[in-house]
Amino acid sequence: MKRLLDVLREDCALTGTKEGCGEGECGACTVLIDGQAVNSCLVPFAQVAGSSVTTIEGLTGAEALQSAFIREGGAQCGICTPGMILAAVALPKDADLQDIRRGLAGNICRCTGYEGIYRSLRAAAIPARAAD
Amino acid sequence: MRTALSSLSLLEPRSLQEALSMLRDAPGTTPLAGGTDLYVGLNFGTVRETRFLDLSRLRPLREIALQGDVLSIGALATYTDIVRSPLVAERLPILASAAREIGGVQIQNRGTVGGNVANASPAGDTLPVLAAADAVVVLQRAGGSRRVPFTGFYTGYRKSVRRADELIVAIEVPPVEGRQWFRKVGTRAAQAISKVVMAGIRSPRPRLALGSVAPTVLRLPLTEASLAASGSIEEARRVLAREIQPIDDLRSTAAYRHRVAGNLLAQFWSLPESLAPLISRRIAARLRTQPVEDYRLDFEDGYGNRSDAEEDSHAISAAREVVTGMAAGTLSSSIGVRIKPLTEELRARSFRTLDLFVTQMVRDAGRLPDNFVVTLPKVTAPEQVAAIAEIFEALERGLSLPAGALALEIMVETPQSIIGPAGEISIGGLVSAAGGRCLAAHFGTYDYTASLNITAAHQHMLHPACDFARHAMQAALAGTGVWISDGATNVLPIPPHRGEDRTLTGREIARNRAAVHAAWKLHYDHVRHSLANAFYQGWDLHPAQLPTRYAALYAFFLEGLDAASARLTNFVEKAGQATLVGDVFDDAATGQGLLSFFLRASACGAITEQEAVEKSGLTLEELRSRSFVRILAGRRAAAVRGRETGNGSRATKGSETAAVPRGQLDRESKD
Ligand SMILES: Cc1cc2nc3c(=O)[nH]c(=O)nc-3n(C[C@@H](O)[C@@H](O)[C@H](O)COP(=O)(O)OP(=O)(O)OC[C@H]3O[C@@H](n4cnc5c(N)ncnc54)[C@H](O)[C@@H]3O)c2cc1C
Ligand code: FES
Ligand code: FES
Repeated sequence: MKRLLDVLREDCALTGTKEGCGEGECGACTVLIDGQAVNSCLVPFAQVAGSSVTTIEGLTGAEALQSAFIREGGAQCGICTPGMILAAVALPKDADLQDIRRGLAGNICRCTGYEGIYRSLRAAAIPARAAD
Repeated sequence: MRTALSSLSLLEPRSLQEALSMLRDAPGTTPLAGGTDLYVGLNFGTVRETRFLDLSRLRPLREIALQGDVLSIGALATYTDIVRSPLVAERLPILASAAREIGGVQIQNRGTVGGNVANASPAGDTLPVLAAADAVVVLQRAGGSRRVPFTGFYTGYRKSVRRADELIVAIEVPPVEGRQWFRKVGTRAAQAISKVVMAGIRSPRPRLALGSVAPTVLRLPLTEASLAASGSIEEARRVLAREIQPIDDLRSTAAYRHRVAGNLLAQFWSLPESLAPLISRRIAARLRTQPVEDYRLDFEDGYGNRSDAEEDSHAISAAREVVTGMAAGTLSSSIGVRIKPLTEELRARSFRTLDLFVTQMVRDAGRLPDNFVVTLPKVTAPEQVAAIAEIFEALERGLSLPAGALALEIMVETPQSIIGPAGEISIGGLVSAAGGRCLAAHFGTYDYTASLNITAAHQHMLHPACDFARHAMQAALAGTGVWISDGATNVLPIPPHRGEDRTLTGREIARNRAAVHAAWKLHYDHVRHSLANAFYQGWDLHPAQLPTRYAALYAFFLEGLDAASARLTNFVEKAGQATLVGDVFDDAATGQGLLSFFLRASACGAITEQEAVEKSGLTLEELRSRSFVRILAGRRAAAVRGRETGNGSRATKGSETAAVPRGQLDRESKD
């Protein structure tokens, strides 16, 4: 019944995935399961058997997006950033601003006011596919 | 995290049967689906249970499928599955609307509809949708299953009739008739629990359900009945206020919820009622009783040029088929043949086919079929029309048919048939060259646009060049009683992929569906265009075009019905006053136009004659008189008599005068 989040952070020492609220509200713990964004604080570890899980450490091909976050002020304190980037990577390829807002609605940021984040996404024209 | 999760146990069944046995054998086991409710509780220490049953491996429970007429949504379908499902989009689009507004993407990817229902929160966003749609919860336990109507599923705050050894396996939704509506009010668009959430279905029997205004989701039978009975929104709001029991909590106040619920009700009720269910019923009735009104056997473009021997034999076998149909009473109410055009090269062939076909028919049946007509394509000069009229005469004499028995239709599909050599409008001359035998003129889109050098990609019914030709036909033939008919849509609603020797892939099925829908939409738009331009008849090339022909026709009349009703009533009243005081009422043409709207609508089956009477405000006799002038005269006479006898009766005598040619009203579709 362990949470995926705890297995990642404690057993695998992959601390790039953050815990914010622990109740599915903030998205700081977002990882990809088979390419789909989920909150790892709500996922029983047993349910990911046989699936591929991508964390910020294992994400490849998103360098352009990651440097856009740095350049465009998409990250300040950085606690939301790993989850934000994984949620962004899972957006559809042709996402417009409306899709981006919807797609990131489950990721809360207390620093940037979101504009820097949307700017970063547009600058990088998002995608980067999730690597397994 | 307050719960020591490692001390909890998780059973991991591989099949539904195994899961149900585990639930039976280990009482106190809690099902776990997407975990989006349970893990919040576990993290906060509010969940007391210690043994869980993982449902995530029970793949078949994730399916969304049609079972007969019922939409079956597997309990494990996630919100993302629901948003992406074409079946949900088609059957219950408000369920997709609700799913789209739940949590954020991360929650939508994990949260399940079964979990939402089982969790039994009064704020669950799918619950009002399922309640309004009369959904059924399918429960299964080891050795049995039962179906519980949604309205009987909840028994109190977070309580339901589900027993501990039962799983929700699916939610079943019967077909929903009426316009669906969903609205969620929360603090922000995403990731917010509802303060008030409402789902409604607008139909003669409105259905409504509200969330977050009582201990459980509420169906609102009293409010529904009030809306159905009076339609007064003020009254319904009062009933609603008594039917809900909202409370103050950390998300909102009872007063605010009362107010919002009332506003949502008003918003819902201000939607115009969808005509779709009515139109679909009437199309179905029409297709059952008289799908095709008129029919042509084609020896021209659809047939092509073949050897003389072959065309001869087909002319004769076609005639025999028609005779068989006459005997069996299975022919459409009118029928005809299209011969080849009377050009130098084809004239002889054209006459020969006509001769063989008509002669064979009359020889075998002793007469022509009812409402028989010959269609002459690609007419370019009056001489051609005169020539065929002579052939008709010769045939009538030779076969001892009554003079004038053979009727003609011309196709207007060359620039010469619109504008003659001296620059005059030529249609009138073409029609009169037939010496009274020409009943109709049909516009032919593709030959006409091609002869104007319009490229193939732009040859369609909505091209402005076609509008010009049709307007010319219309103006030239106005008041002559010659029917005008529009052309056909040549993009046919047939699927590109056929599964003759294999089953189709999901992709192919999707492409087939898209192609058919696109062709239907195109045809519908073409017919609506014809109707807006007062071309009340048109041709179809394929039986699958009939549903959209009637859809366009019925939508056209039903959408305009209320406005026409108000105008005609007003008009008859005004005209009555004008004639009473001796004024000349000089706008009879407008009155006749409004009357014709009702006559046409009832002739094509968009409305019944009874509805035409009710909506037009006329008596049945007045309606059947088909003449606005007569109706006025009748009313004036009645008023005068009423004044003489002190009795204001409105009844008038029936009249045989037809101000609108009858046939024109009786034929709206030609196949
Ligand atoms: C951040 C956040 C935002 C949310 N926003 C919304 C929202 O806007 N609107 C809304 O309606 N909900 C919202 N929810 C709740 C919503 O995610 C759940 O109600 C979800 O649908 C539950 O499904 P699940 O599969 O995750 O259920 P679980 O958490 O796995 O289970 C929930 C309950 O249902 C029982 N259960 C699950 N499946 C079955 C079954 N097949 N048979 C019998 N019992 C079963 C479980 O035992 C448990 O009691 C939100 C949740 C979070 C964390
Ligand atoms: S920690 Fe998982 S959503 Fe906030
Ligand atoms: S950068 Fe600090 S919360 Fe987003």
